Amino acid sequence: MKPLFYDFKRSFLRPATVLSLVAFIVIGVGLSYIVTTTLSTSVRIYTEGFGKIDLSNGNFIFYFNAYDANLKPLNSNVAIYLGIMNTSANSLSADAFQTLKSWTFKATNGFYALNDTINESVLSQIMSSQSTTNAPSNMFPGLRIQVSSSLGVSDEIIGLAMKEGDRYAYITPFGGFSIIDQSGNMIGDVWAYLNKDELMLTALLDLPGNGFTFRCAILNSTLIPQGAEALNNTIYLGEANSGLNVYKLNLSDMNISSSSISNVYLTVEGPDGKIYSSFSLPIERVSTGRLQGEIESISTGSAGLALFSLFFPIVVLYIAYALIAKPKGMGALEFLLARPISRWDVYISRFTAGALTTLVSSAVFLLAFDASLMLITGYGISASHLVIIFLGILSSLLAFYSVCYMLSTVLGGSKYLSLSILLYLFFTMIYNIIIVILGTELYGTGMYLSNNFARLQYISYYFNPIGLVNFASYFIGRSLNTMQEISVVNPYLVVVSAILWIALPIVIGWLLFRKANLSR
Amino acid sequence: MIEIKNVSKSFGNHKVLEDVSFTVENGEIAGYVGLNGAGKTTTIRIAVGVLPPDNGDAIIDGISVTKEKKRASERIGWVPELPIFETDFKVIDYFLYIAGYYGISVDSAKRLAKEKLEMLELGNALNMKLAALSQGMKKRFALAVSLINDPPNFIFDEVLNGLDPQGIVFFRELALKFKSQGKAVLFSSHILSEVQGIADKVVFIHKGKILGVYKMNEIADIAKPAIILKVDKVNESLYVLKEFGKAEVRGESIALLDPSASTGEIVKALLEHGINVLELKQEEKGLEEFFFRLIKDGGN
Ligand SMILES: Nc1ncnc2c1ncn2[C@@H]1O[C@H](COP(=O)(O)OP(=O)(O)O)[C@@H](O)[C@H]1O
Ligand SMILES: [Mg+2]
Repeated sequence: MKPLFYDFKRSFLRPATVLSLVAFIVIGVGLSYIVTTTLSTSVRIYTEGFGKIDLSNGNFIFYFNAYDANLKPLNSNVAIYLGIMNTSANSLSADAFQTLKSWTFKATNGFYALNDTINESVLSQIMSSQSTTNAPSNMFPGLRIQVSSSLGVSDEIIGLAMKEGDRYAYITPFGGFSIIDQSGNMIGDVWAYLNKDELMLTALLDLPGNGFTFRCAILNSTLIPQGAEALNNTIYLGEANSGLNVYKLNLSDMNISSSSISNVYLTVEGPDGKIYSSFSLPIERVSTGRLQGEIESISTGSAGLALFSLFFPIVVLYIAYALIAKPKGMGALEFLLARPISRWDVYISRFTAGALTTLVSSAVFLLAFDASLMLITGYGISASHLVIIFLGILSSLLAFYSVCYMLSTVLGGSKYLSLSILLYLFFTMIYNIIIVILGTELYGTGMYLSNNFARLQYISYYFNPIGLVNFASYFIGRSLNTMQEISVVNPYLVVVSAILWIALPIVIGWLLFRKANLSR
Repeated sequence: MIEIKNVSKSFGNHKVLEDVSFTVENGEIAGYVGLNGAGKTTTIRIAVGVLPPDNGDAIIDGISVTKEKKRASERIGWVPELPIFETDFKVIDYFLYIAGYYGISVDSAKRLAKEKLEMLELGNALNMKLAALSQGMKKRFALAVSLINDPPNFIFDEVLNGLDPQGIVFFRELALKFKSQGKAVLFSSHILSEVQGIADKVVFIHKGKILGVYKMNEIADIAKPAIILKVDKVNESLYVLKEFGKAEVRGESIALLDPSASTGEIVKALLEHGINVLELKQEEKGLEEFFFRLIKDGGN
């Protein structure tokens, strides 16, 4: 066993492998960024927030909260801009929003509260634009907020409130959902999310003191019921505090059908018995769980792991070169073989060393990828899918390694390199081109419309060592329901094909190596 | 003991060895002499188990190389003609790597490496890349590796080739030391005189066939060096020299081949016949002539 360990150590710890391993960890991490970039355009995030300026002293508060598509608190980078909006300018043009002051911060775990003071000159510009008498009617103070995260981005204008004396003099725009204090001393931003049977209410509130409670009514229409009766029908949610308040209601426990409801209506009751009420807030229906699937299907797609299994064969090809083809080509295996070992020992220990290197490299790569994905997005690939991907990549790489190893036993040095590179190009490109041409001949150019071409492709993967990985993507796609069933894919045949691709070249390689002349 | 038994080997259509057999006894140094391309290296590669023969076998201390390669390999050391290693290794690392094949623990392999490599004056080269070693250093490294388990049989393939005088002395003395330790030593060369003084016997090979096995003293007897003379009376001298061996005129000199008496006696006899000896020397190529004669006779 010792030589095996040595060979493994040296095949694994040789600078080229270590370097490529480091490279593949970097690629793994990079890949997770690619996945999140793709992700940020394909899934949405939920951002909430509002700002308030006290025009008497320039005090500025800003509350922010964000969720990912799964309604998990989102880590994000936030930039907010206080400025003047020009509603008559093209929204994309530079003068649509004139920034007076800006802030950036990191919101970890969703929520962030910002306190600052606005200086005189900014304040006066804000005041002049909000004054109903002097300002042009198309200019309003506004708050623009840009959120970027690994799970999505957003860019929107949100509520800005201005307190003038005892009253909120002006609120613009009427974005989001605000609780407006009719008598003038409370402001907030409330969202209602419905995920299956769970109604989640989040409220960013700026309360004048303590001892407030929060209630809501669930509505079947946008209409807010009027009168005392309406207030009696509200459900008690809990205490309300300044900052972020989150409440969850289980609708089935309350015998409410989630399909029929459309809006909510909220009230905040002060310690003095005074009641503040919201607008009718539309319920945001959220289907969680899609995010994981999205991440996995991007991960296993052509921009994800397929990229790895396309390029790692080059490393595998090199491992076989370094372990057998090169020393054999130089004639260096003879000196080794003069030790108390058999030819079979040399043959199989170097094969195993390379196979182990392949195994460890793929594992390290996958783990780096998954860990980095986890770190960036908070979501990884589920364990069972990770195993399928690992097996897919590993069997693909081992199959190609076996073929390369077989070649390396007959061809030394540069001959091996040229032929194995040719094989690599054949199996990664030429082969697929041939299949496309064959498909066109068989089914015409409309082949993509039917299942015929997919069937042909999957048949071809059985006969391509590097193609085996596609079956892993297929099985994951099936379990995520993102892929149609393809009749020619049979798990047993896939396993048989993988075993044959790995075992046959080893056997043939041995028959060639057994009596081979190992001198130059 | 090294026994080569009826070994044949072809590379493609080229028959390189034909029914080669000979034996090297324990405590014996056998020279293995033949021209370049005669088949020495091929025989040796078969003997150390790195090349399978087409026919026949090599038996090391009674163990068949073809059937029990591992056990046979434990009992034989080899310094190849042109040692080739995996050159991206450092000297010390390759030593430790190969020591692993002898089943030696890392710790004792490290101790052994220091001891052997220092003994062979590679102590300063421990961290050199194998590719950077000179031919002589490579041979000493191959030796160091072969000494890991101190095998009772040893083969040196053209080991003196390309070495400086110190290196030549070193390997000749090593062969003699191995002999005194009771090891069987096979020492190949394409120059017969290289094995003179150390070999007990010489196995001659030509075009893949064994021409014969001669004791070293037999060879010395047969291959007495010719005496080259310059005399003032050539014809008279030929008459006198006839008594002492075969005399030929070579330009202005006379060569006395296979002389039956010492040079002193011969000069004395010439002087007695009134012939003056102007110049006298011994031909150096006596051994090689024996070798070439052998080839000429055996080759046809
Ligand atoms: N690997 C090989 N392939 C083909 N021919 C070879 C090979 N090795 C040696 N030969 C041939 O075998 C013959 C004997 O070579 P070798 O044993 O190296 O001779 P020597 O060591 O006596 O000089 C030579 O003609 C050589 O060309
Ligand atoms: Mg040779």
